Amino acid sequence: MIEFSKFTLENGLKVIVHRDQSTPIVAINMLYNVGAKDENPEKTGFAHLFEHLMFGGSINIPIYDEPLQIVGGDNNAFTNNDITNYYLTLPKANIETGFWLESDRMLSLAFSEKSLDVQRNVVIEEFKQRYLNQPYGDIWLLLRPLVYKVHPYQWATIGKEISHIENATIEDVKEFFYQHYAPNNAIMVVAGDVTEVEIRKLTEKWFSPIPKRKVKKRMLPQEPKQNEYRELKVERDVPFDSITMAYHMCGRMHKDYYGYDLLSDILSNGKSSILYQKLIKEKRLFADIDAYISGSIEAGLFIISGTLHGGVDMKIAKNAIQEIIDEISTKKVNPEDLIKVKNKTEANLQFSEIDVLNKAMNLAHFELLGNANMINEEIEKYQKVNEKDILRLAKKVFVKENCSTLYYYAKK
Amino acid sequence: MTFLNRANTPKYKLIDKININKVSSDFLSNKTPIHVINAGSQDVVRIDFLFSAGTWYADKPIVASATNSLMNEGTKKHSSFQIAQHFDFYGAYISFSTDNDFASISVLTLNKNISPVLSFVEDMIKNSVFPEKELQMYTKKQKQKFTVESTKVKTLSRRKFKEVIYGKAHPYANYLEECDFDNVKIADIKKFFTKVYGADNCRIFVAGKAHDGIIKEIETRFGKNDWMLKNKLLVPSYNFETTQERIIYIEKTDAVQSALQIGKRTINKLHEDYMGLQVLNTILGGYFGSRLMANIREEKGYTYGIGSMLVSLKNAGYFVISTEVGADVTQAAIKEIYLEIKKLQENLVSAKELQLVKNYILGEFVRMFDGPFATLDSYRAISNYNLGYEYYEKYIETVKHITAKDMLELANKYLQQNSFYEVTVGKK
Repeated sequence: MIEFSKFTLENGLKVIVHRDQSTPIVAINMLYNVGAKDENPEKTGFAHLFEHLMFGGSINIPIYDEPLQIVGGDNNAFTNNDITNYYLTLPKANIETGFWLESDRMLSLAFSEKSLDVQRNVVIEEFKQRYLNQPYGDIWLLLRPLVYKVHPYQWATIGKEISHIENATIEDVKEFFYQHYAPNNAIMVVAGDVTEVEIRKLTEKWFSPIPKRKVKKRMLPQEPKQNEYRELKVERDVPFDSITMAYHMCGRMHKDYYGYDLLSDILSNGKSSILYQKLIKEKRLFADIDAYISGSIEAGLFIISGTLHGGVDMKIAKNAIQEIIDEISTKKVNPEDLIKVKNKTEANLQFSEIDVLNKAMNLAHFELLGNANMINEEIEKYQKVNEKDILRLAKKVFVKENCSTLYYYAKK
Repeated sequence: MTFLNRANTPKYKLIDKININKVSSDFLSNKTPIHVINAGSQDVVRIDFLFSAGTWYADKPIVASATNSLMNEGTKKHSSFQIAQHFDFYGAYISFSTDNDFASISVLTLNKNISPVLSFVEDMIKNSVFPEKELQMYTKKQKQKFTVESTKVKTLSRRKFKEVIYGKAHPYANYLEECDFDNVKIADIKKFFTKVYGADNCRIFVAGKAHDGIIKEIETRFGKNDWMLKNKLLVPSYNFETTQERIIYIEKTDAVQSALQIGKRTINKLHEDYMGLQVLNTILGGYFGSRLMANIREEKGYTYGIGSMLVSLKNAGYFVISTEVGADVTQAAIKEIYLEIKKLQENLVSAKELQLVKNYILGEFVRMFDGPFATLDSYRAISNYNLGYEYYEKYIETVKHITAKDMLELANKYLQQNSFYEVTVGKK
């Protein structure tokens, strides 16, 4: 059970305070409700490029990192298709520095041309390092447009292509900032040995002078139901073949989300799971195999992905996965297997409540979904799933016309 | 309304003292050392079993890590599947890791499940049987992993660097060839298991809500004399064999980035200069605001990231600068790296920068001791050198009092360009 209190400033900034007296560290998490899904299809990769620019100086503070390091703090950020999330930790005595830094870059960036020039290059190098110069690094770049034809999930956070990043101008940056970075589009969580009273005082002081902004209204096109089986075959300079199968499923807020999550665990979480036992240990077809859900806020994906052992035929590997899918879509799972994955989920939730930064991030995420208190209701929702639900969901999701397969062949 | 000063940092305090959860050290009845950090708010506990069983002790490659990894693939009482099912059922995590000096088995569990979870850990440590087919599967999988890794410029540069600073035959080089995976025999594994996995070669570390019941459970299962080594473990010795050639280039024609490793074999934690050198390393490339990051990423945009590390191993250490840079700016990046080192050798670090780095390091210390698990990791890191908490106390004092002149001297003593090896994989 994570206890917290919550208040909202007049300018719309939502603030959550969680007290944990066991740590000398305070975590501040600032979530902006903007991600790659909010990008213009001709200017992709922007939310992520923007995350880099948030460290390139704000209106009153030339460098973000330096003052934080002076007070013994550390920070980072990440962008995904749904959100951009900034977080920092620092010794309790110096939390005001965190409020000063975060409020200044919410107030306004410096919009420096130099910072844009450099970060464009840095992001292009990131593109190369993580997606192009890595074996199997472009799987998601290929898969997304295969699976999503209309919805902006069709591009990865890094962007569709390098040229979109190369062409970013300072005007684009300004426009993006004022459309998405606003107190009324953010959630701040402060976790550590702090009280609501002191956090309220600091928040009022540093954030209430920031004006409410007109946030661009989100109008995402709905992905139509997939009605035909899709596949893509590519050949790359990698040593072994791999296969990825993606099925459309519901979004994060749908009641079936929990069932899908447990279904993916039954298939592949842990060494006793079905895919691991059958395909790695018994049949020895795969070197690794995984089933997981994308966990995105909008309608997401159920994915099965694996690397074949050298010399194994792709068709045989694919059929072996299909056999397992067919079985789990026609036969109820063993009740013990369901209890097992529920226990594991419960233990994981406990483990995730050890770290104060982790708690701050999770609270922000649940608040974005609708209510931070959902963090305390998760386990109950998982517990409610029964074997009938698992069967119903497997039947629903594992339909050929709902599947897109990426065959990734090693160049001979 | 009062004017809000946004231009200056609000008042702050320098970190003066770091509160460290104390470790209580004791022995089980069979003399196995046990170190306990009883802290934390969650009803969970982590128990690490640490053995001097790293690659240092094996006479063939892969044997040390294979033995460690295969301990959950079958015992006299339970099959590989039963073991996996058991840990998954209780939501416990069991992890195995092997490095150059040590091998460990670490288990993370809810307190309420301690008894069933530990009963299986006990079974693995005392009764592993190592089925032939499990070894075959393991080596096949590892070999494939090795082959995939071999396509990455970063991996290739790291491997080559270790090889040239320690010499192929030294265990710290981790030198492997594909055929090594085929040469491991089940007899090697069984022999190694008997040689190193015994109570008299083990230390136990416990962190979390480690109340008396937990310790009693550990004593009952691991405190008897039924898992002692049959023969005293002999510690082998090795020589370093470095190459004459200091600039190594491996071409990869299709690479869009080149990976660089520049550095040398150097001192470890036991040397008096180590703490100071660690501060110097932080200035050069040890944090986000470091000189290398400021120049090569934030100023030039040559890379997504660059850093330097000073790594301590039990019998030696190494210092390395590593990065992946755009293939077309490889030489420009190398030039800038040496330029940054030269600056440290010729100019005093400014008072402002030194103070910043000191504060940053002290902040890192606070994080290193935040919660029982972080504290355990920090304690393990010194306990391997038979050092105690005094080491960290001295470290904090050293950081506080070190001067710009010290930095200059250390840069001249340890970072001479002609003492470095320079490995480039990708394009020139």
